[in-house]
Amino acid sequence: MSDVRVGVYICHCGKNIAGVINPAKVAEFASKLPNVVVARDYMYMCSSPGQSLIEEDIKKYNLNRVIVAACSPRMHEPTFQAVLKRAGLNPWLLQMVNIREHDTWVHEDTPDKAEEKAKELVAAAVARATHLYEITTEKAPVVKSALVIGGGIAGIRAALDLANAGIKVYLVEKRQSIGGRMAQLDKTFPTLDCSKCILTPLMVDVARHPNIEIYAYSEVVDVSGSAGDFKVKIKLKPTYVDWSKCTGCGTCVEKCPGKAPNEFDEGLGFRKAIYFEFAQAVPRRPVIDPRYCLWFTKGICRVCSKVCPVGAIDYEQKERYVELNVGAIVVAIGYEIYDMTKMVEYGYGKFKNVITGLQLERLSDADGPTKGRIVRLSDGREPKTVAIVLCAGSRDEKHVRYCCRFGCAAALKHVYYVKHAVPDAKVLVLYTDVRAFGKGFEEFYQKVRSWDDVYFIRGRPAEIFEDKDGSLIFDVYDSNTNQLINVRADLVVLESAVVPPKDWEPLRRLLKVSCDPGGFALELHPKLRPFETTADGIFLAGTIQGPKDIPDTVAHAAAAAAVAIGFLLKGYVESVPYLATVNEDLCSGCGLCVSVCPYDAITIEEKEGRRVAKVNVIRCKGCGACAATCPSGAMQQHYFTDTQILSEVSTLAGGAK
Amino acid sequence: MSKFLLFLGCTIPTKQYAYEISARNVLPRLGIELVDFPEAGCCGFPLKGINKKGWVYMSARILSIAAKKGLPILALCNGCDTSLRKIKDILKHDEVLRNEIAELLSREGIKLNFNVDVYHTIEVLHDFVGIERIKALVVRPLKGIKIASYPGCHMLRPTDIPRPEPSGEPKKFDSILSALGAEVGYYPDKGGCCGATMLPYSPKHAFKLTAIKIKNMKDFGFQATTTSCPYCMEMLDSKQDAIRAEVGDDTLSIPVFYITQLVGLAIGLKPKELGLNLNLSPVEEVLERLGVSIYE
Repeated sequence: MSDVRVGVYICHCGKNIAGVINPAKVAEFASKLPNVVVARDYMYMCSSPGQSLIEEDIKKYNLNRVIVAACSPRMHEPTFQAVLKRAGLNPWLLQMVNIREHDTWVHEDTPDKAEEKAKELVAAAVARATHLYEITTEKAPVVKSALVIGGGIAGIRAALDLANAGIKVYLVEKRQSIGGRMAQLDKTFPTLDCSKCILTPLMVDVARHPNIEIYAYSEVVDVSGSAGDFKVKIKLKPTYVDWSKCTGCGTCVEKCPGKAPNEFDEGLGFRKAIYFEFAQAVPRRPVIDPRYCLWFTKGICRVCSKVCPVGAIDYEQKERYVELNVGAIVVAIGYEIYDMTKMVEYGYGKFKNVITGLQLERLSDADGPTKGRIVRLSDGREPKTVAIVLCAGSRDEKHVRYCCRFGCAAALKHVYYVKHAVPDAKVLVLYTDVRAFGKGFEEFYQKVRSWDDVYFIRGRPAEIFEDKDGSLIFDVYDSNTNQLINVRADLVVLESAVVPPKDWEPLRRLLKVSCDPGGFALELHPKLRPFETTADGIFLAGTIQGPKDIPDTVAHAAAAAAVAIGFLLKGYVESVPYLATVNEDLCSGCGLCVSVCPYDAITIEEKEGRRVAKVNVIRCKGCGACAATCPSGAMQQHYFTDTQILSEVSTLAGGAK
Repeated sequence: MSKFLLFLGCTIPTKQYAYEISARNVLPRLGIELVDFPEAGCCGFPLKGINKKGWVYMSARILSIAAKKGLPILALCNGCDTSLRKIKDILKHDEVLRNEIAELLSREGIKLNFNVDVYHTIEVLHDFVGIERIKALVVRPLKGIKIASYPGCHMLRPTDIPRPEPSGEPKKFDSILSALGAEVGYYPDKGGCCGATMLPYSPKHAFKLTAIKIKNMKDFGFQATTTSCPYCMEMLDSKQDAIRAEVGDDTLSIPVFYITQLVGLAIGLKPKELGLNLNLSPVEEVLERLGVSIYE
């Protein structure tokens, strides 16, 4: 395109621009610049007549560059690119000049200088426009399948929604059963319905869904490829039971003499060495824990293999690996509770009768270690005074700064557990604030507050001490009544802070997802795109994006699934226009670009006996880090080439003549 | 052999001689060489609440002189140890104050330098001498005596700077006692404040705080207690009479030792070498069980 023909359009933006400068004068100035064929001003360029004006000029004057001096390109660049497209021009032959945010809005007091600045900016754009060229994007097909990592309520909901939209879903769960934290809960707030009763039907739906394949007792160990075409390696940990033969009859579990602490019951009870995670486990298949199995530790027993009617026990089983090809990944790995032993002053781990809220859930559960009886762990006695401590580790600069977002409502629920199990018990709720923000939470709060012998004290315990009988003594300053209260409690329940799971950090590095100061996955936009990550094709569901209660988790997971479905059903991924591109003649293959690329989009490859950089056009997001780093100028970025930027800068440096 | 500058602070040389006597006699026998540090003044800790710059200056002066000598500091007192380490932290982060202090010190011809390690008695015993070595030297085990370790608040706090007991509990302290053959254990408020800082303006409340500690120790079956802080020692040991009078409880009586005194007893030193005749609490109760006379 040697014959450059530029059209310049100055917008009044009502009085936003024209109230400060005279657009007609800028247009007149522009008309005299080199290569400019036509220059006009108009009241609202973005309006339908404004757009038609440009479209007609392109055809009439055979324009091949268009400059629109108006608002920020963030506002209307796509609008005017569409105009170029309609007129048969490549949209990247458009150059926006921001004379509103960058000029008239900020230089209202000096209109003369503002007009001068507008002229200079337009002149620079005209110089730059000479070097614009047509840019085309590439498309790559999307594999219509998804990986969901984590089988808690978020993963379950996301998997079901994806599968119902006709997408093949692989659900990976590190434990032997799906269900996650929600399966450990006795009831859910504020409605107090049984947690498992609403969860287990969904677990069964997942297991039965023709589009869902569950990989339980498995972990993601490698991720490569890019959005639309990920290659994922899954490790199937050895269960020592051939699940394809096993019928889930449970005879092995019944006869096993081994004994191990029960992780599902938060260490409160015991399970066997071969075990189901819990009664309603899905898949209902047992696992041998070699740390406690007598065959693995002492070389004796083998009772399970003797009693198994189908010969499914396999002590020689090794870990296996499966490779999957998916278009999208939904991360739903949930949360862990903060290690309460780090709060030395509360004595958790040291005093038996200081427990976490999650442990109280297990005590309250009819299927739990005490069959639903709430007792002191030191002597099995019914507690007559229970202190529930909110914000244990949360909103605390020494521990976790953020709010756990469900501790308040959980504490109210825990008051109910105690009053239901021990009606004459006295319950003290030691709170900082009660944040009853969700639907129905405030009503629930008011109800709990009205019960007899339930006291809300605004303060945290100082230091908790244990008396000889296992009771706990502490002082708490109640800032509502300005009193120091001496408390003697039978049981202390800590509503613990929430942190990302320990295995998140290695997985996060595999997925190349950023994290927030708390370590949770960083969403693409905190308000508008909370389900997406900076890594294309990787979506977030539930608490891994930040602490959430069940309703919010489910909403978040369903939304993540919807966004993922949109991405997968579109059928292709498109490269960004402002891609990095290599001039192979100049490239020395030094690899500096590889080290700065945040998207793993650049590789160094052999070409005709030389090492040169190669850009994966689908992975490249056009950030420009490589182009800025390249020592030889071999790496350039479309629409931001050195020539384009420098022509603009040198015009500005020389002033508008 | 590890070598330390022996920093006494001001409480020990003015009213808690037993700590210095026992430290000087015990530590060299455990392979610790002590170098006198006569240039050091007060750490400035009591000024903290009323004149921050004065406090920082006094500790910075001690740190700078020690840095020039090229030896780590052994602070016997919990307060001195906290003060010196806190000042290192403050000087590191506050550039304006750092420059001011450097200017003040330069008038005395001292170059500001806070790049010097500070250790407390408990760390020297636990981390430098080591439990195994202490065990090997024990000739008179404190068998059958249940001893309450009383760390004093600054052994554990503040948690934003390195403390001798980083776990928030006197674990090192108890493991030293176990190495001497004593029984150790839990009692409520083990990590609490002795009340010494309140003594000048509210002795009534200060005594009450100490009384709670002694009562808890006795309730939980302890026959003696031990500390490594001269302030705590003063409250627990010297003020027992006043405390009994204040709270009206005659049973509040317990033998109190410095940890260095107990180590000395266990490795066979005589009570006089440990300054035990200076303790005001009934330490004879323990000495009798060990078959030792206070007049030895």
